[in-house]
Amino acid sequence: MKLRRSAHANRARVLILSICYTFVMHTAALPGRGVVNRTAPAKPFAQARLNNAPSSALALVQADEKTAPVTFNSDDLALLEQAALFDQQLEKKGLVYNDERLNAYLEEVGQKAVPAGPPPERVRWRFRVLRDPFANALALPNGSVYVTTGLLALLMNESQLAGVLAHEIAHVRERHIFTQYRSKQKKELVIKLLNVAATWSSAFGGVGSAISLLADTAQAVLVVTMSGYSSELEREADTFALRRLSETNYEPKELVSGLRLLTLDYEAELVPLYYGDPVKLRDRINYLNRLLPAGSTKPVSKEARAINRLRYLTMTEGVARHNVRLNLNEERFRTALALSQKLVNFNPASSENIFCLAESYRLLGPRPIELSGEALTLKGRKRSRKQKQGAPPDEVEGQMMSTPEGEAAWKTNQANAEEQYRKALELDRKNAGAHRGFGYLLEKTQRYQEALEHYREYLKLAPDELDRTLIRRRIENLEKRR
Amino acid sequence: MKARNFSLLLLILLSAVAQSSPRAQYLHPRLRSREVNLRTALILPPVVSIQREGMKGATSMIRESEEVGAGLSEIVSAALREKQISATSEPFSAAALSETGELKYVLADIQKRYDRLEPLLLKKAKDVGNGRFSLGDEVAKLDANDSADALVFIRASGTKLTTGKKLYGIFVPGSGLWSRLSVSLAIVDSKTGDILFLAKFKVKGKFVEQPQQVLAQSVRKALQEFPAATLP
Repeated sequence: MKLRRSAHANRARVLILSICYTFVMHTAALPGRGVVNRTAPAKPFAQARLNNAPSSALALVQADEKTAPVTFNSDDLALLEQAALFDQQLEKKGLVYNDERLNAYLEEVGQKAVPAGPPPERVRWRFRVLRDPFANALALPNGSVYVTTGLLALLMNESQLAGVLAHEIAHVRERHIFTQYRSKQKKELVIKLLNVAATWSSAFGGVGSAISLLADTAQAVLVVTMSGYSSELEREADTFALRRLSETNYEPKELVSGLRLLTLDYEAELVPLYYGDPVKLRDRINYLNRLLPAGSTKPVSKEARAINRLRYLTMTEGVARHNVRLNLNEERFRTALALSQKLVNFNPASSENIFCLAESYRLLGPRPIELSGEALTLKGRKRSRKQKQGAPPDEVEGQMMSTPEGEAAWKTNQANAEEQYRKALELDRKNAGAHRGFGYLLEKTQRYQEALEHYREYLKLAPDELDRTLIRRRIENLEKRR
Repeated sequence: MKARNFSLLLLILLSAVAQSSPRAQYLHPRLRSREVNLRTALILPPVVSIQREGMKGATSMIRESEEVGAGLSEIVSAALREKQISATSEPFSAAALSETGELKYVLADIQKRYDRLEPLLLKKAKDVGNGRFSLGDEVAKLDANDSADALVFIRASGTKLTTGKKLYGIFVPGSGLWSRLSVSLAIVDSKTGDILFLAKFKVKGKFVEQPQQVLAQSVRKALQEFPAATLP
């Protein structure tokens, strides 16, 4: 069917659609707007943020502590329900790390970071640990705040942890999640409407290219703002975190130190780091450095700093070891090695810590301990990812072993691993895991008799472990070889 | 022009009639040659992700995903029983996992290991026939009592379209007119971790509201080439 429209009608259609697009994008793109209705005026520190003028963290102490009451619409309530289900799912799927002592510690630090007074409506503060080797933290709109084992293993002291928790608390307290979610919905609706117009415009002749261009622009805007919170909301959360650290006995500058730790990159991965990419992270560090007061307002003694650090590392030693295992499962061998070394530096008398180091060396296999040169460039990272994604792990390792460099690296790593296993067993002959790990290494290096001895010792020490059948099978296979 | 419109209409009608796409099945050489005889299997908790897609965007359907997962588990168990393979998911029930904290972690870790391998597995599914893929013998931790021959991994992801989105699909061809679910089933040697069997298929329709009706026949057909157990 051929439709004839006048040139005037076409121009009017383009004009109307452009006005609609501009209106919707204007209301959708501004953070802080949306259907989380506030009945109180904007707070002073929020105004400072909007002015984009860096101001001392101390000046923010005057800001109003109370959150404004909000009106939840059906989408917001649905999001809260999803959050509650998400909490249950994480627990059900074994993704939450359950350690009573650690949970109590996290709760204590988290509650210090929460401002005085009752929690916001429909928020119940809960601080939990997620079993994930990547350093990250997230907050759900119902007050559930999660930090990953990767983050806990990376940080150095309690002030850094408090900074992270305060940042996440801000996202919940200021309802950023609802704002961003509503903003995302509007953008997607615009794109869909524009796509409809673009598809049918060809039937009317002449306006297709203009509508398509608008749809493309909207897509680009959506992609940019979809990667996590907008920088405005992140800055608001960082500002809040700095304020809370200065109000409690923590050092505000440790928020910046903690962020710097997140720039460490042992694997040369393409995975975006905490809060998006390294460029954004550096922007945040620079911004926070400008906000920090010139001199320390509350000098912290060397002793207090040492206690703060010691307490944190003691409380997180167990989860840090667990995190080494998670990194090894994810084939992040160099990260596992670095974090194991950190554990050994903190507590060299621990057989378990040395065992972690041994496992990291053993599983590093034919890979060099440190990446350098081309491997750290973008091209090198992409090649590495392509190699990993193009073949199963045992094939990738086999390809590395077939090169002279890979073989040399393997020999060095196995020698290092053997040294650490022996040290771990010297410190504690009843370290079952060390016997098992050493058994694996000895079997791989064809020292079958010694491997058998260590496997048998493992079964004696840990007869009820889940891998008992696996080890028994290995013993049977080795006995057949003899 | 009339012929083009008629062809387009015919294509839309044919797509509407077809409820699911053809099923693909891949067997490990040891399975194809009957070198292995699988009589018992443990079904791991399915990982199902269904999103409701509307005009305002996509939202997760967590509860519904769980229900479809539970349904898939039962359907697969029934289909394996038809092949004289005794299948159960009891060791991984919520009650069983709450008793042993370590098993919950091990299960999560091995599910994650499978998920890391899955994209390559689906892309190079034909290589299952060359015995290329394995999860390693650590999978034996899921069967500490050595009671099963195989482990079953079930994955499904899909979108359920709202009425508005379906209408949108009419005006923008190619953006989807039906709710869809992609399913993959992998059967793994519980001792070595070798991927012995892989099947993948897609379904359209009311898989959220009526999982049994929509999925049962597809699962049965997906396991068509999987060999039945023989008596020892």
